[in-house]
Amino acid sequence: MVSRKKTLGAFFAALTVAATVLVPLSANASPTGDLIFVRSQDFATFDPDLAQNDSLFIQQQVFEGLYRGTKDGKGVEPWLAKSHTTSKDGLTWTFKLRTDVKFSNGSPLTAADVKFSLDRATAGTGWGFINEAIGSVEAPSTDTVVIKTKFQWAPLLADLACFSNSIMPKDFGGKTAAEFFKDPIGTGAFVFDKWTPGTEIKLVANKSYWQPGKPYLNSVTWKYVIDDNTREFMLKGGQADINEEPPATNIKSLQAAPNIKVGIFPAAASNYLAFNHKVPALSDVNVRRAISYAVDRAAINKVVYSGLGTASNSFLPPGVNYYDKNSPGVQFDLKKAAAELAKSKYKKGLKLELLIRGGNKAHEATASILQASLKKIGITMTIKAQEPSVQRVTQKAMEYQMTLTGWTMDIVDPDQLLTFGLTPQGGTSAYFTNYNNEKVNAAVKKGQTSVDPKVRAAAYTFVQKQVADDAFMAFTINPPYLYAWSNKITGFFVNPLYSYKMEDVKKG
Amino acid sequence: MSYLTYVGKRLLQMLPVLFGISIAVFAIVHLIPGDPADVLLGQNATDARVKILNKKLGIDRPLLVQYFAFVWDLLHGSLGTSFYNRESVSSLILGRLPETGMLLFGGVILSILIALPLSILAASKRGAFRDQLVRAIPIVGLGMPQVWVGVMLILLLGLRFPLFPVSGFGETFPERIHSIFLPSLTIAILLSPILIRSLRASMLEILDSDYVLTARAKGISTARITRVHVLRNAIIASVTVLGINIAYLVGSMVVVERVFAISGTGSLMIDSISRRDYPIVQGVTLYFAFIVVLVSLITDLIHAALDPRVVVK
Repeated sequence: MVSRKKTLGAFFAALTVAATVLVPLSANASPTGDLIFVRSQDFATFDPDLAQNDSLFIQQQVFEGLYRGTKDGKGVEPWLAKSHTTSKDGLTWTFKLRTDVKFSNGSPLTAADVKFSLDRATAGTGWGFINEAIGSVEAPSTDTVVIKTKFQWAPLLADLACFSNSIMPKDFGGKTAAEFFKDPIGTGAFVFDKWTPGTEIKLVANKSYWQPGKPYLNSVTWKYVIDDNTREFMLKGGQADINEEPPATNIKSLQAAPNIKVGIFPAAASNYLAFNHKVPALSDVNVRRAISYAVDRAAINKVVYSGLGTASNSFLPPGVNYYDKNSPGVQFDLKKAAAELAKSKYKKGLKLELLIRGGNKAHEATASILQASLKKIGITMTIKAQEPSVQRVTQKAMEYQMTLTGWTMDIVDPDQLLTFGLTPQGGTSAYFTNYNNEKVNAAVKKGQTSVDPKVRAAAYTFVQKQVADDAFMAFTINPPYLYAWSNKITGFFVNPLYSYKMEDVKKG
Repeated sequence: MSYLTYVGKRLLQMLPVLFGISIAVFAIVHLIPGDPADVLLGQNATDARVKILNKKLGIDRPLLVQYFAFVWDLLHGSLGTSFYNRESVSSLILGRLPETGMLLFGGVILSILIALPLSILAASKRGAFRDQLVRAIPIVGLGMPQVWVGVMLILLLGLRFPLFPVSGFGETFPERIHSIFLPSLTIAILLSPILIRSLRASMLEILDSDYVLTARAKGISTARITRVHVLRNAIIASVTVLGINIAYLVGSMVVVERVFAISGTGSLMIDSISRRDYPIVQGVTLYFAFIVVLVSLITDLIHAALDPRVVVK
């Protein structure tokens, strides 16, 4: 028996060895499957400095950064960088690069490429502000990059993980910027194949991708299909594999459909009801609090998001570092709303106007729910709809009283949103509200320049509570990201920063 | 006046029309409130970033300067570059032409294939059941919204009985014919009622005329009378009706393009308006205007060829 056991043991040992040898071999098999996305946005450019949601998911399959956001969206992991060290004064960051990375044109990734890319990103008129703390970038050896910051700067790694800091070959591989972005070269799992503006963009597998065995797919195509129904028909009819952003109201019927899977991914995104503090009535904190209490978040969630979102308790969206789930926020309570209004100069009621985007069903439904509850506390709210682009211009010019707005995080660190959204330094008068609280400004600055997580956490917890008490905006709903895909697709995942990596996805 | 002089005169008349349109288009595009920078930089752009971009795009210059630059480029055969994706406007429009052209052509052909036999059927016996039935079609057909017809066709012939692709334009020519069928049918269902009404009316009018009566008296068969005398004369009036409606369709095609995810010029126009992509909006409008003027020209020319009295007038 012993010998038999031994034989069996030897057999399994051999099997294990064979498996470890064979598995990577089979994983290296050439990529198969052509995946088709349908989406309501048209691709515009490969230039990360000009990236908006229409283009950046596609850019991210071609370009990679030194770091990238983790799956839970709360941190970053080294990507093209292997590791980093920080000097004692916290101003000098030294990065070691991976040595096995090649660009899709075959040339190896070097520190010179990183320096070129980061310098270009910092000088960028689009997203250059992300790098405002970077003083200089040096490339002392082929695999070492040294970044000096102008002051202590906690969010540096998060900034490096932002799409704006994508790594490209030095001097665009000898091309002009315009030529390069027509046929870009990156280190990502996919390379550019074909673009028909207004129709589709196709990427194919990067055969020399540095992660062994990846990508699994032969090609990925993003088709621009603006009509919600048509996208759903295409998915059901097998003409598409993944539908980006199906309407929340269709999720139940999609979940019931055979062969279709629905993904409801937590998002680092928030919707807000913004107040223009220049309007006399809205400069009164009690009026703002009254309105915040009158927002029936559960009803909005049910009607607009089919119950898939969550009522918001903080200016920061969940899924962002330092988001405080215990922050009291302001929740729906008509009694408290009436009490707040009674404390203000407007006891007898007042008239206000809400600016919304015409044709936007979410805005229209939110507006009418809000109108009904405000009426109960004596506020007569009129609704003014403007074409989306006009609405945004009116908002920026601060020629509105109240409007609906939102935010999706671009980096894992809360600093980007807080500096931009709350302080005068952000350049937008606190997200076009004219809010300005010295204590909040100081706490935001403290969180930005301190590298101690405890100090930062304390600062950001204070900020979240204070802006809720000031009812600087009413925080409404945290909507999820919605996707639907064919059950032939596996491995598709969207992180809270709205980023997905197609190298992990398989078809068939 | 010879036929050629007539053609020349009509071509010359196009020039002032197009010039007038260029001014109107430019003025209207710049009158729309909104800001291209808003789309390009996103909602969160600061004033400073917007200023830099506006300078880069050249839209910080006075309107008159911008108009002359636009006309100057136009005279040099360029419609400019898209703000949104930095592609040449001419190549963007030309890239969409096959889609729109085939869709339009398919729609017109199917409309004729539907309208012709039905009108003959109806006109052959006035007041009979078949006439009443055909006369009901325009009422039903014109009452249905394009979106609804398109969606119903997709549900029935794309998903329930998957005979046709639900959307897209295909790669090869047979694929394109295949995928263009449902959208063309959508157009035909909406266009053919107009044709049926006009064809039937003019056929009935001609059937009552003296020369048809004479032909009947001479013992010529009904089939031959319909083919030689009635149809040829009835088509003259319908060509004009068809022409006007094709010109009208070019503008309204965007709905069909949207439902069937065909990226033709109609959807290019709508996208560009919401993006405030001025060069494209100007380019596409000019191109639409050109097509409308051209179609009305061709209609008149066909009319003139069918009815020599037009040229003399």
